[in-house]
Amino acid sequence: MNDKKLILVVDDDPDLVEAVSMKLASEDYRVAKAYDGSQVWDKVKQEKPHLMILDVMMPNKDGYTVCKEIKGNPAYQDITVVLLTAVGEAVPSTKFTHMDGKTCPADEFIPKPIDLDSLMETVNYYRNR
Amino acid sequence: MQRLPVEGIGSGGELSLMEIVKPGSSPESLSRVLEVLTRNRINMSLVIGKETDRGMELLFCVAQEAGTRLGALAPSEPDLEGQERIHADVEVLTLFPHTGDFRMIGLCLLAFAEGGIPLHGFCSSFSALTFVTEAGHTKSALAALQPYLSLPAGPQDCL
Repeated sequence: MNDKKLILVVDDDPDLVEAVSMKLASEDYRVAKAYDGSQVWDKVKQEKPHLMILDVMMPNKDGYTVCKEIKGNPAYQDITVVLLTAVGEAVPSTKFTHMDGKTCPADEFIPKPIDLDSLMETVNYYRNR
Repeated sequence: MQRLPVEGIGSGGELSLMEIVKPGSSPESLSRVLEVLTRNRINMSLVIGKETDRGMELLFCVAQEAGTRLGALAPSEPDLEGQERIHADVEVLTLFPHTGDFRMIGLCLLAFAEGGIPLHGFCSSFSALTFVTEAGHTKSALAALQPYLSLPAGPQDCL
């Protein structure tokens, strides 16, 4: 069995997915990638990740919905969810509200643009939790 | 021949493509063009800047409404002056990740040539290849790529 923790990176920006994935791989994680919330369940069922880095605004299924689905499923609620969000600054121009953010059961919220070092601090904090 | 895998496809239509050529200018001239767009809150879905024997060239895609606005702005914005060309109706097709494999560029260009797909330009980002084609050609472009690339199926894979 591979001892390296699996992290699922979910974002509709393929460059962000690639950059984050490369950083994670360099820090001894295995990485799975998805480019929309609608792809998450296929990936999760293929292999359950230890942690998920999840964008909020995605075309077909947003991160808040995915987070609630994951945390609402007893078999997967222990997956750590790190939500990436620029929504706080852009709320007036999006369909998302402050309440969506406040009621979302994510474990961590990280603002965009992402600071990779801060992201890795957060991910490493949960490495053995 | 084994087809190269592609995990995701993005496409966008109802775009205008603007090309500005500034003979004899410095790269800073391109930055000033971008400043005009920023000042007028015009988003670009693609931008290519290059230095050629014609001078500094900037090629970018904006929403058609923004393209109309830019056309109206041009007379009052010296930084937009240059040999301009505007294509009013284009689409962009993005394939990712390219994994740094140069074969993907070659195969795409070959496929588009074989399929008679018109191309106004293409560029690469960290993980994606983006091609600019005439409106209405995205589907035929994808069909042309099928022999060479293993494309994802299903609308959920098209972002």
